[in-house]
Amino acid sequence: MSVTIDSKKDVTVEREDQEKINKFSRLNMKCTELIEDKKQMQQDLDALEDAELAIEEAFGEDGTLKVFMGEIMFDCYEDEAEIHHMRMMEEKKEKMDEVQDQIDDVEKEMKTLKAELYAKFGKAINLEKE
Amino acid sequence: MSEEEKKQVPKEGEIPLTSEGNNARKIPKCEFIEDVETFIEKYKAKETLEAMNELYRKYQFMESQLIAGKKNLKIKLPEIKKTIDMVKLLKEKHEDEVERFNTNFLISDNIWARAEINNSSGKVGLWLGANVMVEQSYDEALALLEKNNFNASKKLESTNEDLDYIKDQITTMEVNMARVYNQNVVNTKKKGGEQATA
Repeated sequence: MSVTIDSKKDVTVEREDQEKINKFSRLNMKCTELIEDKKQMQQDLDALEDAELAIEEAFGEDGTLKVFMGEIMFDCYEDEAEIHHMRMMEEKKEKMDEVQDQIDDVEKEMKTLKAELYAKFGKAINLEKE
Repeated sequence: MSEEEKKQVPKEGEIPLTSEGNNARKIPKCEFIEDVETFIEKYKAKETLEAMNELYRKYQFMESQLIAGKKNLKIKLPEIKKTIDMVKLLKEKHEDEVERFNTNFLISDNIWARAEINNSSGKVGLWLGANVMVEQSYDEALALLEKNNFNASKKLESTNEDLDYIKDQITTMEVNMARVYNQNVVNTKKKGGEQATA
């Protein structure tokens, strides 16, 4: 994002406006980061969902599966694998909801600031993502 | 001259763009210029812009350093988490009295080898760095790892705070620069206009 002030039109930037611009800029930075975090989490979650299918498919073969953890894979029984898998799913989902909530909060605040700043500066300020 | 006035008069050649920062890292605070017109009358637009550019670059450098530090932490945290998970697994297996279990180890890219883990001892070796590894019980290892995890999270938090602060200064500086630049354009035009009518 860029904050560009083009003051051909006669608007003066007050300290109060500066603070709003700063806050907006900070929120914008945070928002970008959160969205990236969420993307990563979504990927992890997709992988976990694939794993769920894989566990089901392997059901009843020889009863053992390999579970990847840290840097190794270890042998374990289906029910163990299922428990492990469920635990990971829950953890990820919980974290993702947390991030989503944060994104919602940040976006809401940004919207208010944007409205205020555009109301004052109109086209003289650019708050859009590049 | 009163105390107040003394403070406002800068040393020769110094433009009061920043003031002492009261944050943990003593990063100077970028001052908001209240009245651009009088400011550049006093300090001259060209010199002001030059000084601003230099400060701006410094802020950006600090920002890039902080971002790099943050990236490191964001890699480190999951690694600690992974280790914690692993020790927890060993502990669980040990408590269930599974003394041996089979694993596949990555020994080189895409090459895995079977290995049987014997965890009857109830101990685990933790790599401390500097070529030192210490054998500890699972609980001791977990306590240490949790502590590391906590410290790294704290560090990430403080890095985020610093980044927020720096971002504020950068934005203030950007807006200041734009305002000084614009005011200068207006002034130059006005001057040109006056000369033309004269």
